[in-house]
Amino acid sequence: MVDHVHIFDQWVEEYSGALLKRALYLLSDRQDAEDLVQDVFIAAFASYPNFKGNSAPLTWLMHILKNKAADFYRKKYRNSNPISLDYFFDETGSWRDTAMIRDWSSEDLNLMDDAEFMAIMEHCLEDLPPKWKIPVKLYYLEEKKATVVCQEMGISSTNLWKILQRSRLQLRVCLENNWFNTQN
Amino acid sequence: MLKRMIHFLLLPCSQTTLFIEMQQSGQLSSIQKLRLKLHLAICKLCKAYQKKSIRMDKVLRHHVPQEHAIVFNPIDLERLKNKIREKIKNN
Repeated sequence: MVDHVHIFDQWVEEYSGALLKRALYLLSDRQDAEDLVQDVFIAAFASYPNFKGNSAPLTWLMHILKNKAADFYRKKYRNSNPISLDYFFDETGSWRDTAMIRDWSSEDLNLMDDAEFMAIMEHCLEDLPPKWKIPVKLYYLEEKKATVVCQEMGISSTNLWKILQRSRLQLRVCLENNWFNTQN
Repeated sequence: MLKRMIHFLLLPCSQTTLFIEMQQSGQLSSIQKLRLKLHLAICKLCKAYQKKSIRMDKVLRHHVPQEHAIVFNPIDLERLKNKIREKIKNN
């Protein structure tokens, strides 16, 4: 038991920063993120006998963090409204706005190296409501493994596709308003 | 008019954008793939959207796992660490 506490003392020292970063990234709220990291350590401490040492401690803690983030998400957004596409499509399911047709300029390679563009992308992502951006971020953190994300978040795959669809429709508008249509 | 009919009967744009999402994750069945292909062949708007969607996906794949450079105030971080240590002790 003494060893156990000693190990955790070290882990808290070493990994709190990385865990808080990930938590803040996922939840976008400082207080929620700090609470989450505390929960992660408490849960890890309780289930320490299950930690076989097959993975690095941080990997194990990150895994717990994702589960805790999913719990948080489920509790908070379980009863939220269904996703509406009315803003983008009319009653026949056709686009309302034909501005879509305008091509985006510049190559992807340039874009990803462009700090200004990436900052705008980040801003647009953060601008999505939490009930969408949390699954979207997890989807990319899990390298687009949809089944993993659905399992972790406790949402159906249909729901995940709808969230991704709705988020991306909105990202496109945000990127055009803040970047593509402001370039010459 | 014919175009509108096809859109409506085959796959509306609202559904097409969902299929585009699934396609980028390799989750479409062959029938869905065919419906998507046919819709994209006649719908310039969805074709343009697909292009943009793929580019956004590429950027996000590149960006997200890196996490942005969040820098914490060391005092805040120490405060959190001590709080966690307290909680573990009292558990």
